[in-house]
Amino acid sequence: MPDIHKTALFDNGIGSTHTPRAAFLRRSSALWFLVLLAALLLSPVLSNKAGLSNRSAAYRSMPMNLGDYSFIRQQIFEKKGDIDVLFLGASVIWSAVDTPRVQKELSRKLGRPANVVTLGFLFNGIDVPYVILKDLLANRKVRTVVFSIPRDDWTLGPSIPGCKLQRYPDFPDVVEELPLDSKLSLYACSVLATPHDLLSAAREPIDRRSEFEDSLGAKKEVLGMDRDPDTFVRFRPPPPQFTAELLIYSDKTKENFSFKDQRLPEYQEHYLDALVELLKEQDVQLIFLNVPQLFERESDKVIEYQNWQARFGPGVTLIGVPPRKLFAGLDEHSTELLHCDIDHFNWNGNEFFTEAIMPAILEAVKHEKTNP
Amino acid sequence: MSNLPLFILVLAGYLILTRIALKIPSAKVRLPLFAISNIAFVALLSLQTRYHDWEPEPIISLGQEAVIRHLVLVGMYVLAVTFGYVLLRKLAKRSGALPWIAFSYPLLILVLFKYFYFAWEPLLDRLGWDDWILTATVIGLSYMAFRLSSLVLEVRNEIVEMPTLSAYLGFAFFLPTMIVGPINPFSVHQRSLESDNFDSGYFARSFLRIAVGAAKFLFLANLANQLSYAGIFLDQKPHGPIDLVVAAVFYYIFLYLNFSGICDIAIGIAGLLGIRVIENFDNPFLARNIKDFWNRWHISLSVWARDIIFSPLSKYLIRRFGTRHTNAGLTVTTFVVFLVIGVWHGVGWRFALFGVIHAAGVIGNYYYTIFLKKRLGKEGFRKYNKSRLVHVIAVVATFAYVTASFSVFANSYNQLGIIKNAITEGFFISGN
Repeated sequence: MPDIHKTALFDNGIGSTHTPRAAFLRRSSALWFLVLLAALLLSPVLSNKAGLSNRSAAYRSMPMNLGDYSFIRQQIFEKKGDIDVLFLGASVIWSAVDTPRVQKELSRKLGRPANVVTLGFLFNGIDVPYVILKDLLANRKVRTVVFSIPRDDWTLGPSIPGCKLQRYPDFPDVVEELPLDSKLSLYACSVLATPHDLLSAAREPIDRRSEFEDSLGAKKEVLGMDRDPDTFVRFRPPPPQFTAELLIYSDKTKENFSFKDQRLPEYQEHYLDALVELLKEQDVQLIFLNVPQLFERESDKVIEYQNWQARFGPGVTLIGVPPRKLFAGLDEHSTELLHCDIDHFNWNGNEFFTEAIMPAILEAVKHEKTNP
Repeated sequence: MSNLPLFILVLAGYLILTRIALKIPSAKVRLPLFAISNIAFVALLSLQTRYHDWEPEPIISLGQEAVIRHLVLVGMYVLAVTFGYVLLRKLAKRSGALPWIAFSYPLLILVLFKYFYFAWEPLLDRLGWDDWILTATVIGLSYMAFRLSSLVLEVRNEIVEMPTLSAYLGFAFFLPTMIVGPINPFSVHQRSLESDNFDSGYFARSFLRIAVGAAKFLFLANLANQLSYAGIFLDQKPHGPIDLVVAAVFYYIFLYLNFSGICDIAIGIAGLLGIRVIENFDNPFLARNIKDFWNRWHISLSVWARDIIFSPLSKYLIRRFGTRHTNAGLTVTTFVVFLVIGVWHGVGWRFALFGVIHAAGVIGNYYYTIFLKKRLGKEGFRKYNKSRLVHVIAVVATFAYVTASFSVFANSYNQLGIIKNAITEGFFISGN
């Protein structure tokens, strides 16, 4: 039988010709290593307690390939004044709404300067709009949120931008009720975000003027199909004329809508519930805007995952235009000229779609002639 | 290997079966079983290799045909390595240039696959195969080639006896060091295979090495990478010069944690089998000059380069041109050594430049030492070397030099352009 503990766990670091070097010279080195690991694993909590991380820094750490979070950060933390209408969501709605045009029409309707903004981002995930709204509503009043849920792939856990934007200790209410695997994913995201938070705390990151300031956040892609800039052609077909009543979901128009009764992944559903709850608490009007995607162009009905009004109550408004009606009179090539890929409108489509839904938006938005 | 639970399961199977094989008293049974176990598990793990595409899939999920094709190719890989054994046996102890054929064979295979991979393209096209198929087959070739060529010299210089075929294949395909080294000499490998010094302390020590290595490789390296070049400069935002310093320092830290972490795991796994693998790192951040750095960083590669290139080439040059030209001979040899080290890391000018920068660092240090010895005298030089202040300055300067050198190693030409634009232009444009 070999002697028990013949080979020591810790040694002088050299090892013998027969045994591997010990991981640590001394027991104390091992303890320090454990302390370091523990500190790093607890870094989201520790940096939060020490005030080294803050919500503004989280937006500053977002890379541009996930969206222009500089613009979103400025809207949340730097701009003042109430927002009449906020268009919020992933790239599908981001590229679908001509925000200045809506602002102009709404101002005319209200008889005062209206404030309309789009806060869009890349990649799907309802965690992101929830976090943006939570931060925005802590700083500014918003009257109406127009939200859109794309028919696309969803992550089972935190979305790519959601992973980078959230910090585990920042939203305890919503995180507390998440499934354990989502909690762990989110915590891991926060641990990985700590180095950037500490860097932001150590030096002021350079910010530049957002390219979306002039367009009030609207994304007008100058791209042809397959996101090819060379195939983009300016194309301005006359937009179809719809009455507001035709586009807003009601007993009269329910035949125009098709609900798949399909639930999103549990994580996303959780954030959707939290988002709606947050808006109710803050007395913010919620409109679900259906943005048609190119592959739905032959559909006679507005296709949605669920009947959001039935789920969240009559205070919620649904707006949508059946794709076949929207693209009526346009052949396949002309329809493609309005898109930069199968999911997104380009500049042409942005203006075309906005004009089509304008009456419904103006009708649905709660009108307040005075700006309190 | 991105499926961690499966990887751990396969690894556990490997450890149990290989440990059982090593318990067999008869070497005639033990060594072949050891070789078979290693080859089988290398083949099994290589089936998890993901080819690079938009939606990478492990080979095992590509269907029966792909799996059979892959296993046949791995079989051919084993045959090619076996041919190296035939050359070793026939030529290693012969006189003249013949041993160099055996020595060069593994390196030639490496060069053919790593640097002339385009030469295979017509054949691959004819077979209708993608490029990744060969890459997925010859896993671990870089490290294996260096180990096997070194083995030829160990046999020739009578450091070890001529191995049996099974000992050779067991060494060549030794799973823990296949992918990332260290480049373990056969003498160390074989000695620990033959000795029975495995005890509970040895087991605990090996297990702790794996745990620490996993913490470094999976966790700490990922954290450090958040502030390296990729973590900072690819966000398409403007950055100040200070960010370049932060990225450079954290890239060095990331590289150390990543590479030393996986070497810790390899050494620990080998340790669980009672097989010793030489160390690859020894506190490189504390190096006081570039020569010292290479005694602390990727040690097994430095030792290989010293024994296989530096010693014979410098001796040859000094013999050929006389001792009057010793300094010139050492300078040339150092450049050759570091060029080889540079291009061994990867194909392209930036890896060669990395080698040249380090050669310049070693040669600069060599001439600076000669200068100091002349200027300060023997006693003065001894005092200089013992000065704490000089030591601190030297360590910081070496750290800065190595950190800067890794900028060409870490970033492609395009990425260097992106970094330059992010700092000078304040916005993201492609470096091309």
